[in-house]
Amino acid sequence: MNHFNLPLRFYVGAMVFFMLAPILVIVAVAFTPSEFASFPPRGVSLRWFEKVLNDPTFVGALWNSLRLGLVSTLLASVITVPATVFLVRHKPPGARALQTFMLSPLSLPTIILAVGLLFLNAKMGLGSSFWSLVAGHTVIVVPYIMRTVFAVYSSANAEIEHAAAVHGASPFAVFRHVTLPLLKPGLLAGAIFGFLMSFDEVSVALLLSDPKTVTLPVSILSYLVHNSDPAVAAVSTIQIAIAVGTLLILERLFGVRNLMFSSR
Amino acid sequence: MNLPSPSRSAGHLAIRSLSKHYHDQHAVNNITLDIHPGEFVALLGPSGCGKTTLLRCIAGLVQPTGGDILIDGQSIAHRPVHQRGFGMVFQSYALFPHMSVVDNVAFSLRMRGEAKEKAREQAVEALRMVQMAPLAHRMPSQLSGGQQQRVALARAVVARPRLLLLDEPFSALDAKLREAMQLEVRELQRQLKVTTIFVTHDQSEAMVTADRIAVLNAGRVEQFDTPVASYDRPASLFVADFIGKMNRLTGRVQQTRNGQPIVQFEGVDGEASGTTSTRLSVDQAVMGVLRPERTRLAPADHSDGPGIPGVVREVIFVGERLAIFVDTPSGSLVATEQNSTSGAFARLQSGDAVRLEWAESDLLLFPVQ
Repeated sequence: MNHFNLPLRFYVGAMVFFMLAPILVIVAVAFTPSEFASFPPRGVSLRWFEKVLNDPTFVGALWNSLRLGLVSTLLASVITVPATVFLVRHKPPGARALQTFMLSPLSLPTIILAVGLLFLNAKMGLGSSFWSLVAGHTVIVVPYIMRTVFAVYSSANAEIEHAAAVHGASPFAVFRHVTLPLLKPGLLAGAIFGFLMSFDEVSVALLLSDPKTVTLPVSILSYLVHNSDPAVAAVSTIQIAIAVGTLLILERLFGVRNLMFSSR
Repeated sequence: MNLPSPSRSAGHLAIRSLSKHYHDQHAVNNITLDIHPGEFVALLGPSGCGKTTLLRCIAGLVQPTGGDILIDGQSIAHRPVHQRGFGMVFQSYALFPHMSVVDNVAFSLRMRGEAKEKAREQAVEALRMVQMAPLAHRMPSQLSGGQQQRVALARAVVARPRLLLLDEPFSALDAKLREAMQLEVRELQRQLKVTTIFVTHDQSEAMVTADRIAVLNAGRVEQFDTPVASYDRPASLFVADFIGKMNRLTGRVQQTRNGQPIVQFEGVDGEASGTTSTRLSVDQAVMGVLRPERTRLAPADHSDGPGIPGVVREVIFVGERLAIFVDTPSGSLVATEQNSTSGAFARLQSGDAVRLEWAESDLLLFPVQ
């Protein structure tokens, strides 16, 4: 892989540039000292970070997003892990169809899901905006966890679980001491990606949140409608930092490449 | 060996009319076996004969369709797998990849509620028996296949099971290591006096290790006997073919004389008789089978009892023995002879005319449909 020829180098360079440029602009603008967003920035200042972190709307929204992401991911894990274990090991009739069904939110535009949830919520609401959001985001997170857990678990040797059972482990002990550790890398990778998806999600959050449960992306969106100062860039930078931070942890612990691209 | 936990009761295994059907396929078809305490029994057969299904029924990993399994007189057919208290070694080793070697071995003790430190001490003791104690703190992925299988063996015996189940444990190892492991398992089994069931498709492996061999074919037991008896007195044509090598002669019963069938074999000059355990009627088609080491080479003009003329195709050295392949009217037959100092057989060349002969008692007759 050492001999990239010139056109290939150029191609890769252009791709990286177009992927990173918008993000770099946002981060750069966030450090602007001036009143208005301008690029390239003149000087470096943390004033917009200070403003954002002292703004109860943004801070509240950040907490809402973290809470929503964590609860949705946890709920999705609790639903997905037993379902996937059952699908892989017992292969019930229609397993393939069931798996496709659980993965389907991946290929469905979230705005459609959001509109559907809005109507459903009006008819038979959960009564609380937060739990409605959790319901919506759980649906979005499930396929991410399912994909990685399925990939890791279906390549694991079933005899390892048989060995545990023969040597005295009850079905629950087999799950706790053997199955769960076996699929842990897949679960963690899927959970972190799922969390990031929830953290980043706009459509469902926009339609189902109320003033108390506004999430960070929604608050950024509504701030942008009336303002154009670099505060938005600062809050976006914080969001990017959280996403990159989690990805780095994931990479350090398990190697994202192996997990995401081992496919299903 | 002093494994701290006390040895449990004997370990007499009785299998009663056991069956396992999948849809319309009889994987295990009405098998009855009695296995004595401390006995080493091999379940031998080709793939798909039901030996692995039978082992899994005993382990509790497969629920039989009918029949019963008793250990020391107690039925365990409906006891959940984790309450049977057996040890098992799998073909794929199946070590827990996220646990160290010592924790792998300590697993069954921990599941029985043993304290962590005590379980580890016993695990190290078991690892010592398989010469793996120095690697107790490695992870399974850091071990070779042979080492992993030793750990799996230690894991299976650490809790002093009443029954040790081995599911083709050595088939993934290379030939030399496989032979060494066979002897080692045999020795360990003798020391522990644990009733052992060993599934294999390799007849020589079964001969080396087992006290008795159950030869399985199409879900049934063809013969359950000692290795020597199975070799010398196979109960069926299938067993004769599966254990060791056999020369085959096809023929038809001409008449019976004093209850002895007189058979005309294809290509054999004169009428011949043989040993049979079944009653053969006149005109019955039979197969005569003969061990290569009981097949004697004689000069072409020799004529003493039944024999078949032939031409030497090739002579192959198998170390201390010679295998002489001979083309006969009845197909290619092989005779093995000692590679003696006189070198008489080594001087045979392809194209030489010879005659193959045998003693009447060495030719085994089986009816064919």
